[in-house]
Amino acid sequence: MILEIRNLSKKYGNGVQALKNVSLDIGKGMFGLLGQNGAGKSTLMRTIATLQDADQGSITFNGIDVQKQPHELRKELGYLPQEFGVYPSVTAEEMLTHIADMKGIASKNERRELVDGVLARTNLYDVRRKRLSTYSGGMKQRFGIAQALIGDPSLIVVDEPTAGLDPMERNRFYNLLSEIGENTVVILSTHIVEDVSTLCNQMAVIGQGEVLISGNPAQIEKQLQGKIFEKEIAKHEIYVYKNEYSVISQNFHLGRMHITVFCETDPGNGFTAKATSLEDTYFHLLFNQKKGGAVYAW
Amino acid sequence: MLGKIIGFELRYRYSKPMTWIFMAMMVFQAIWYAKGTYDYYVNDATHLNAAGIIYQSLAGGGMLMIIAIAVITGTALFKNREFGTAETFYSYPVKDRTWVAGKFIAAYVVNLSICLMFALGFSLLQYTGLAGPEKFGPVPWGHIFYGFLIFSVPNMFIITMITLSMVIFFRSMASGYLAVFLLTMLFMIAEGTRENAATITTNYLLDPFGYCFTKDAIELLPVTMKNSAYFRLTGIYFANRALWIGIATVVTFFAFRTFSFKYFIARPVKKGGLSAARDDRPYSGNPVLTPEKRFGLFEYVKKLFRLSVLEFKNTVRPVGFRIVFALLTLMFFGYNYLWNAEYYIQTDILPITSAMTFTRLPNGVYMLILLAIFAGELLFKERSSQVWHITDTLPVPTWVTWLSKYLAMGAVAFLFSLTLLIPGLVAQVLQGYFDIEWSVYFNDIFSYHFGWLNYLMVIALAFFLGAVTVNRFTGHILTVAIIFFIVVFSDMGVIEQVRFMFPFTPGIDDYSEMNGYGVYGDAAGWYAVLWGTLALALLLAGLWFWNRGCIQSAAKRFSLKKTQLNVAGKIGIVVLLGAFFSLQHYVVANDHKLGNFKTDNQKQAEDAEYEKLFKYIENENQPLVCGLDMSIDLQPLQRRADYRFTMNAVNGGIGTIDTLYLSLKDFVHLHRLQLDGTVLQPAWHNEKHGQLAFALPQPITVGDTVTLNGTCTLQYVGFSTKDPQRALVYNGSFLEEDIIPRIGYDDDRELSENRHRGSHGLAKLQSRMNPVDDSAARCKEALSPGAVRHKTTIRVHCSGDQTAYASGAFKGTETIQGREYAVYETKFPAAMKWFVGAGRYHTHRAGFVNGTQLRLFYDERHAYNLEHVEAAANDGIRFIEKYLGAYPYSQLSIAEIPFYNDDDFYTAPDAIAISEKHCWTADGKREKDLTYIYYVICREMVAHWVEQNMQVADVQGADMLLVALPEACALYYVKEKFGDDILQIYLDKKRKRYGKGRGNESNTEPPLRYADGAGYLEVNKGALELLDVLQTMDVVQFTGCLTSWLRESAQKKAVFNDFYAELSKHYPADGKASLVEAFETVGE
Repeated sequence: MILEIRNLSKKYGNGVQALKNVSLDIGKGMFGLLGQNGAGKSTLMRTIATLQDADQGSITFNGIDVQKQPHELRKELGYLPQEFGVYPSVTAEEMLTHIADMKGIASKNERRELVDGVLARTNLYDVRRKRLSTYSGGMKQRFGIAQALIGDPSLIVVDEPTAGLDPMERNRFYNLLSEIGENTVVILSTHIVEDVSTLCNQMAVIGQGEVLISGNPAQIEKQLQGKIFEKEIAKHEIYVYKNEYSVISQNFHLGRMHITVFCETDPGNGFTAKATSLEDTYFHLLFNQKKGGAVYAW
Repeated sequence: MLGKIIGFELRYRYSKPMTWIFMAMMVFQAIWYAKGTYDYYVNDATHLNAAGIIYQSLAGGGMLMIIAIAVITGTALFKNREFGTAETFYSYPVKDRTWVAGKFIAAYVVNLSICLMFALGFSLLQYTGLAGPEKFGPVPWGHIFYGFLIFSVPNMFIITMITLSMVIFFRSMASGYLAVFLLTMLFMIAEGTRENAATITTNYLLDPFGYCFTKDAIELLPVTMKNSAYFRLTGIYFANRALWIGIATVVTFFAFRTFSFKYFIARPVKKGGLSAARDDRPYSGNPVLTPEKRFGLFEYVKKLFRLSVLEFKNTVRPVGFRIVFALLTLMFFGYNYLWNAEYYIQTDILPITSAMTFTRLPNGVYMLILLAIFAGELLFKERSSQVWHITDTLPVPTWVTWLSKYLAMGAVAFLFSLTLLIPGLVAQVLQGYFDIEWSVYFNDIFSYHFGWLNYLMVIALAFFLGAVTVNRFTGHILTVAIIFFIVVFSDMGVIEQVRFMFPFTPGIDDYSEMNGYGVYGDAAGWYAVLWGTLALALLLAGLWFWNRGCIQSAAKRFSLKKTQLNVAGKIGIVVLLGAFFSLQHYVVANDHKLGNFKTDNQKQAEDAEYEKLFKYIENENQPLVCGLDMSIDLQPLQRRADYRFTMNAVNGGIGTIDTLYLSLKDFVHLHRLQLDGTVLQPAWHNEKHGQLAFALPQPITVGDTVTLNGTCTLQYVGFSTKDPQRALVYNGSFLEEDIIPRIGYDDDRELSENRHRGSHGLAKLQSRMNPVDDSAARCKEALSPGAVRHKTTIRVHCSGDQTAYASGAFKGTETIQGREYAVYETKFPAAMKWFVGAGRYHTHRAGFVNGTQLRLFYDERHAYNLEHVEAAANDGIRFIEKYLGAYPYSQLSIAEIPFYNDDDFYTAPDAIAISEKHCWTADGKREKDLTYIYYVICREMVAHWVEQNMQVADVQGADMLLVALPEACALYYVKEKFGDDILQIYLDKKRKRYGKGRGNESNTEPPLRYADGAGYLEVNKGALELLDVLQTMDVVQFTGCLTSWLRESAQKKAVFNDFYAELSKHYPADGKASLVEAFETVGE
């Protein structure tokens, strides 16, 4: 069970190169796709989900050529898009039953059982007969998860699924995903580093349409061991430090500014070595890409 | 702050291309509306940019305006809510009411500016090339501005305020659309029932746009005033404006009071909502089921139907749909219950089924538009609700979702059809009418005579355009624009050929109770297949181009390689388009090439050419018919008549005749012609115009009589989409004397409207008839200038189960070559005016005291008023005998004929033919309608008396004797039998019709003594004035004067001018001035 992406490129009509020669192998389990807003994550997700064609390259899943046999892939797919709407005048139960039907579950009883199952799994059973237009944002997102799970998909694509979810809801959702990921290919697209580090056994960072790195999160995290340093500085000093050091990130803690720099050796000057995290690696990758003259599409 | 809000809104709106597109379309609309109204006012002197045309157009506003307003107005306020910007905007330091006031004002200004383009469009008429410069007056800037001020400014206020108020009350755009829709419905009902309104003031007030009274006022204006007068603001104008501006103001007041940011931004929360639905339990760990999945064609087909049901439910569930459905049902019920064709046919008719289904025609365009919009909405439902991200990834072929939507819309269209069926049935039952014709309901409402099948075709178009444009609004606009383009342009006569009028079939508004859709029905089936192939091709092409997933480039969407539609489907499109074009060819071959269709312009050009080529024949001495014996075999189902005639003709002129000219009616074939036993060969034959010339072997000398024997066939072949080909129809054939070759020149073919004469290079007519001092014309009889009075014998046989009849007294039957012919013969010499008919008739017989035998030939379903017709005929005889003398005929046949003959009533010796729309289905239980039956029967019988006792000369004033005199006598009869109140109804109608007719006079209205056969003049003003004379002089003195004048002038043809002189002598001296004014002047 493997999703193979080879040399995938996509350029939009407005000239934006959304994907540049992307190649990835994604096996069973949770795969995190990390990237900034506009990095190309959703383009890649939509392309995998058969909603969009690439200009070049190929995607295959278990021998299915996604671009040539989109219909075959759809039989295996569960997709939760970043943004989606609902039919306002339809209930969750009706909509899920309809989706189950569309996903090929021919038996009425099976459909009912299945829908009840996913409704229960997403805590929507009690409100299954309410119209979707009356759902809150969190409930709508749960509904989205429920529909993605229907039909026992072997490939699940979730595109920034926790946007708008409160922390508790987010946790519950990730628990569910990791549970499902044991037997299926789950691709999780996000810009939250922690999501990837805690959930995924494989990952890739994408920036400006390019895969900047891919592999195991723990290994990626270790790549910069001993080369990351931090310091608390006054806010107005930031420009000075940026000129002198490779400042890969800056943040505030208790009202004071902290900067993180990349340096092959200890830079001294009050910097202390920092235990590297996946976030530092991520920021470093982005920093490098930016330094290379790339313009980020924010 | 108010200024800033208005300024921002205006900048936003004017930055949208759609606003400018609407403005450009309004300019276009001004041009086409002006052209349409101009064509309606046929007078040669009416300007294309006449002030009246501009007022009428501005008051109506037009459909594009309505669409523009519906699309634009509500968004001024609603877009913040829809686009989610309300939360930010409403938190700014601005007062709620300042905000809403700014939006109202801005929307009003935008609407006014769009309307201004409509007004300014009229100034461009000169430059459009629609007509020559002589058809235009100077650019009427003053009238344009004035019209804009008195119509557009208040109308835009009314529509804008009510629409925005509804958006506030219901916090939805749909309510804004519905408000516009409702206002338009009120307008349509007021306009649709205007012609026969019991209290016209109600209609004037009901119309929110002030169009109804404007149209009536403009119609009554003489040409000069139509061209240049400023519209007079009367009490009804102010009452209408006060009412509707008042309503708009009150509604706006309450909307202002209702509006607050909190109110408008709040989403309605239902009781028992989901506040408690938050659940902190972990997602339970039910194992994921591994269900059996099934795919394949059979499953997909099953899914298709299941999905269709879901789509159908999704469409009909929203409150908006239910409101539309209820409104349509109510509107059609109102139409069926209240509307009646009384204006057109003078009586209310019983709620017969064809009258119920007629409702679909005047309102059909709204059905199409609503369906097109619902179709577009359903097509884009996933996109507009953003659920496409999910649904487009489901393992269902696109054809399943595509067709399921189409099936769902088919079901919605079926529901719409029920809004026609149910109100029709209810209206019938409520009125105690139970002769329900289910087949008519089915054919009209669910078939292809502008019924459900046609709706399906429009839905296919909407789907196709939606797929091509990939934009819901653009799809809506394009579909609606195409529908309007076709409807308006065909209504205006710009598009004359049905093969360009997708999805219409021929004859939808020409349903005959007797003959059904007749020959149109033959063509309609083929046209239905024609449009069906196109609709299917559009549906398949739409499936091919439909964008699944993210929006793709046009190149990808329209790519041949796109697999959304498989190769078989693509081949299917080619095959369907091939079939479509083949069918186009087929209908053209059956219609145009067989001579069944000519455009108006072609017809006029042909007539003009005929006049130019053969007018000289009019001055050639030609023999006059002085006897006719004819045998005719009718084959209605084959639309064929074979006939033989023996015609005696006398040289009544002053020179010998060496050339015989004959003119043949269209589709008549002259097989053989003999003169005194010698076969004649034509010297020349112009087949295009059906004109022949025969060099005679022996000249006919003055006073000599010759015998012409001929055999002819009248045969219609192929389709007809414009001409009902009334002479031979499947049920209700009606042939007149014109089937016999006409000797000489056929002046009936001449163009009579000066506007057309001018454009085809013919001299304009000073009068439509010969002047009273034309000595040659004074010797000819107006009823048949090519004949002297003679006896006519007609033998008629009809194939199948149909009954044939003819004018003349029935003399029994004769069997010739195994066929039984009914023989009809005129007892006295009469003008060459006769008819033959056939149909699936039932007969009703009666005998009167004076010995006259009555026979009624009627359609078996129309036996409602037979007793009334019989009583009226009996009464008519009594009236004639009381005042005029003996009724001339011993037999009287009254036959029902299909409505699409040129006239509604025909008289010939011993016979009257009456259109199916008069008397037969009148509601005889109502006194007003009952009186109409008596009135028309009496009138036609008096016409019998006149035609038999007077040889009216073929000069001006002829119709004062042939038409106005019977009318006046019948009106007097009504007064005598039913009293002054009923008479007053008839008088009022005649005055109204006269007013409208003269407002639309195509040439120049003459004084009554020189009346020249204008359709509106003699029958209305002529009858009214003669009735006045009759009542002033006393009926006995009047008829005495008439009969003595006839006796004294028995040796010459009767001329009204002479009778008028005679009347003047006996007219009371103190009334002479008014008599002169009535008959010798043309009032303003």
